[in-house]
Amino acid sequence: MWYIIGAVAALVLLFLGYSYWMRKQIYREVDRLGRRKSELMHRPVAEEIGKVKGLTISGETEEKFERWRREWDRLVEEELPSVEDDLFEIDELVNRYRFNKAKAGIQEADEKLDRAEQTIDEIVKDVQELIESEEKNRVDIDEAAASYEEAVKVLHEHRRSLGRAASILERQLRGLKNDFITYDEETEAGNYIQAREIVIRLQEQLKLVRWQMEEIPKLLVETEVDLPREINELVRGIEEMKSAGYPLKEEELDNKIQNVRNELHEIGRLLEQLHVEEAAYKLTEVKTSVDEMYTELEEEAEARAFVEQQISSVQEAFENVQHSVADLKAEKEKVEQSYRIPEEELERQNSSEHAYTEVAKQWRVFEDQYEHQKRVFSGLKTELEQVQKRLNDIEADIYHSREVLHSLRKDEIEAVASLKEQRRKLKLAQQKLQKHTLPKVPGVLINEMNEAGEQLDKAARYLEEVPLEMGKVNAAIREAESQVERMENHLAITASQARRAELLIQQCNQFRTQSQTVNETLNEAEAMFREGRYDEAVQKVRPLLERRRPQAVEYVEEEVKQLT
Amino acid sequence: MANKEIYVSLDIGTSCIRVVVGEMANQSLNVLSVGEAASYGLKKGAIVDIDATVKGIQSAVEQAERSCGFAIERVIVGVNGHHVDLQPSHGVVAVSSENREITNEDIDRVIDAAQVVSIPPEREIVDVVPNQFVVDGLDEITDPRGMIGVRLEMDGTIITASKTLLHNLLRCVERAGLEVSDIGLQPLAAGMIAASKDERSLGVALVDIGGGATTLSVFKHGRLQNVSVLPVGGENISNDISVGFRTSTEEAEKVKREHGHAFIDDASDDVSFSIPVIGSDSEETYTQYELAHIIEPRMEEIFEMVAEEMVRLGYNDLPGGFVLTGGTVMMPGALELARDVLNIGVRVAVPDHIGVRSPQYTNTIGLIEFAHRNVKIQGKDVGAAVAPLEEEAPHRKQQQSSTEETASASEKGGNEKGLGKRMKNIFRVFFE
Repeated sequence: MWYIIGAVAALVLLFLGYSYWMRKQIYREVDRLGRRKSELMHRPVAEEIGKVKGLTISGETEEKFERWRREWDRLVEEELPSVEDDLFEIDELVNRYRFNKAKAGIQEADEKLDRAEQTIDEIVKDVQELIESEEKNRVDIDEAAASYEEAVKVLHEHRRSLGRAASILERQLRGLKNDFITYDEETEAGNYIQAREIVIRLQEQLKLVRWQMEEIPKLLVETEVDLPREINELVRGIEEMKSAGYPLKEEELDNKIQNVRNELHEIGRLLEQLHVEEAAYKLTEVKTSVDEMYTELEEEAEARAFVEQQISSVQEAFENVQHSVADLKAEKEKVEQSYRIPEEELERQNSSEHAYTEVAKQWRVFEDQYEHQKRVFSGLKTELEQVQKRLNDIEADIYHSREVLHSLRKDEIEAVASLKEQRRKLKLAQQKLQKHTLPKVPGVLINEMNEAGEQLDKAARYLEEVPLEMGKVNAAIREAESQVERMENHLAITASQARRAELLIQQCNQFRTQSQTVNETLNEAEAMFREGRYDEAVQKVRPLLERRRPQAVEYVEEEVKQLT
Repeated sequence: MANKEIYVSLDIGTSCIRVVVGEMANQSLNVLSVGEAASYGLKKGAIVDIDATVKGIQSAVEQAERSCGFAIERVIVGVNGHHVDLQPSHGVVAVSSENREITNEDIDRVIDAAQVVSIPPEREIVDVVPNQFVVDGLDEITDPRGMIGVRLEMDGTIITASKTLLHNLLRCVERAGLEVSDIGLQPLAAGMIAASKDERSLGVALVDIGGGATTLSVFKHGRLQNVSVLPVGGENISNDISVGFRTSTEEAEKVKREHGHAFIDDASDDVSFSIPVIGSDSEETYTQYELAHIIEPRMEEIFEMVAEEMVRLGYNDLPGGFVLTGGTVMMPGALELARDVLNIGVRVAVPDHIGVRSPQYTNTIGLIEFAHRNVKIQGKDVGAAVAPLEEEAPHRKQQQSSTEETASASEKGGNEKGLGKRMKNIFRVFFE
C-alpha cells in the first residue's frame, strides 16, 4: 500500500518537476522570441529606405520606394504585433500546462519572425543595390564616355588602316552615342537599374569596338599585304622550281593557291562587316594552307637532294646485288655439281632471285620516272627508300645463302684461302728478291720460284675442276706450301749470304792495297759475288778478314743478323 | 795503308744522312764502310734544326767508323741544289815559270782569276769547275799541266750558294767534330757517276728524288747547265699514306718501304698488311694495290713537275733522256711509272760499287769521285780523311768543344793553298 502511495507520490513529484522544467524552457524561448521581435522592430529600416529619398523619386525608384515603405509598415503594424499576441497566448498555455500547444505556438512565432527578418533583409538589400547602382552608374558611365571618346579618336586616327570597316564602326559608335542619351533619360527618370543595364551594355560594346579596332588593322595587313606577298613568293618559288626541273603537282598547287586567294577575298569581306572572329579563324586556316604548300615545296627540295645524293649509292647497291645474284647463281650451279644443297636453301635462293627481278623492274621504273621527270621527288624518294630496303633485304638473304654454301664448301674455301696465302708469300718473296738487289739471282732460286708458282697454278686448276676432288686439291696445296716454304728459306739464305759476302768484301777493301795477293783474292771474290756464287765468295774472303781484322767478321755477322 | 787516297763523303739529306768511306786505288773506288742515320734536322733540303742535324751526322759517322775501324777526321760535304746558282767564268794568266811549263801554281792562279767576278753579298762561291783550258789559243784542253805556253786561259762554271744555307751546313759539320776537306755540288757529283760521258755530252737530265725534295740537273755539252729543286719528295708520299690510312708518319714510312709500289697496274692485291689507326687501338688491313692508289698519284705528280720544269728550262727533248736516282726510286714500279709519264728514255742509276749498290748512294759515291778528280786537276788536298780510331776520339771531342779554336788551328796549320785558302775565307766570313 505504502508502495503504491510512494509510487503515486513519486509520480506526482516527477510531474511537478517536469512541469517546472518545461515552463522554464518555454519561458526562456518566449523571452528569446521577445528579444528577437524587439531587435527586428528596432532595425534602421526606415533610415535605409530614407536614403532613397536622396535619389530622384520617380518612375521605378518611386515605385520601389513605395513598395518597401508599405512592406515595412505592414511588418511594424501587423506582423510583429501579432507575434506579441502569440507570446501572451503561449504564456497562458504554459500556465495551463498545455506544453505541446505552447511549443507549437513558439514554432509559429519563430516562423513569423523569420519571414519578417527575410523581408527586412530583402528591403535593405534592394535599397543598397539601388543606391549602389546609382553610384556605380555614375563611375562607369564616366569611364564608358572616356572609352567612347578614345574609340572615336582612334577611329579618326586609324581610319585608313581600318579600311571599309571604318564606316561600320563609325555607325556603331553613333549607335552607342544614343545609348548614352538613353542612359541619361533613364537616370533622370529614376530608372537606375535599367540605366545600369545600359551602362553594362555600353561597356561591352565599347570593349568589342575597341578590340575590333585593334584587331582589324592587323588582320587587314595580313590579309592584304603579308599573305598576298607570301603567296606571290610561293608562286615565284613554284615557277623557279619548275624551271629547275622539279616535276610538281601543278594543277593541285594552282587550285590551292586560287583557293587561298579566294579565302583572302572572303576574309576582307568579313572584316568589312566586322566579323572579326570569323575572319581571324579563316586567316589562320589560310596561313596553315600556305605553310602546308611551303612545306610541300620544301619536302620536294629535300626529297630531290635525298634522291640525288642517294641515287648513286643505290645504283651501286643495285649493281652489287646484281653481281651478288649472278655470283650466287654461278656458285650455286658450281656447288650443285659437287654437293647437295638443302631444299630450304634452294627455295631461299629462288626467292632472292625473284625478289631481285621485282626490284630490278622497280628500279627501271624509278630510273624512267627520274630521268624523264614523270614523278614528283617526294614520290621518288619514297620509291628509292623502298628500293634501298628491298636491296638490303636481298643482300642479307644472299649473305645467308653464301654462308650456307660456304659451310658446304668449308674444305674448299680453306683450300682457296691457303692458296691465296701461298700466292701472297710468293709475291712477297719476289718483292723481297727485288729489294735485295742481288747482282745475280742464283738459277736454283729462280727455278724454285717458278716451280712454286706452277704448283700453285696446278692447285688452282684442281680447284676449278668439276666435280671437285678435295683429296687431289689438298695434296696439290700441301705440295705448293712446302715448295713455297723451301723457296722462302732458300731466298732468306741467299739474301743473307749475298749480304755477308758483300760486307766481307767491303771490310776487306781496306787491305786491298796492302798486297797484290789480297787484291787478287778480293777481285776473285768480287767476281764470284757478281756471278751469284755467294757461298764461294764468303768462303774466299772470310779467312782473309779473320786473319787481318777478326772483329770486322763479328760486325758483318751482326749486320747480316739484322737483315734476317 | 796510303791514307792520302781515302776519302769520306757526307750527304746530309732530308730523311737520311749518309757517310761513305772510300779508297781510290788504280782509278777505281773501293768502298770501305758506310754509315747511315735518320735525319730529323732538315725540311725540304734545308737545315731547320742544327742540333738534330749534328746528332744525325755524328750517328752516321760513328756507324761508318765502327764498320771500318778508322776515325773520320775530314769529310767532303755535299751541297744540294737549294739556292745554288751556276754562272760562267773566264780567267787568263801568263805562265809564270821561266821555262814556260805550266804548273799547278799556274792552274791555281787561273782558277783564282776566274773567280774574280761580282757576286751578291749574300752568296758564296762553293766551287769553280773548269770546263776547258786554253793554252795560247789552243782549246778543249782538260789538263794543261806540263804543257808549254805563254798564255793560260780557263773557261769554267762558278757555283755559288746562299751564304746562310752554306753557313748552317758547315756549322753542323764543324759542330759534329769534323773538318771540311771539300765542298761539292751534289747534282754535279752525282752526274759524274750516274750519267755516262756521252750522255752528259748529248744531253741528259738527272732526277734525284730525295726525301724532302727532288733535284733536277741538266747536263749538256759535257757540263752542268741547270739545277732546279722541286719541293716534293718521298716524305710527301709518306704523308699521303699517313693521311690516307689514318696512321702515324712512322708507320706510313715503314709501310712505304716494305710494301710500297708506285705503279698501280703492277701492284699486287694478294699482298696485304695491317697498320695501327691513329686514335684507336685497332688495326686496319690494306693491300699493296690500295697502297699504290695513294703512292702513284704523288709519284706521277713529281714526274709531271719534272717534265714541266724541263719545259720551263727550255729542254723539250734530251737525247740522253732521264736518269733517276735517290732513295725514292728504289720503290718498285717507280721506273715503269716514270717511263709512262715522261714518255722518253728513262733509267735508274745504281752505283756498282760493293756495299753501296743502291740509288740512294749515288750522291755520296759521286762526291768521292768528283773530289778525286779535283785533286788531280786542281791539285787540291782533300784526302787523308781518316786516322786510327783510338787517336781520333780525343781530337773529335776537342773540336766539338770549340769550333772557333778548330777553325783558328786550321788557319795556323799553314795549308794556305787551294781549298784550304777558300775554306779559310768562308769561315772568316762566317765567324768574324
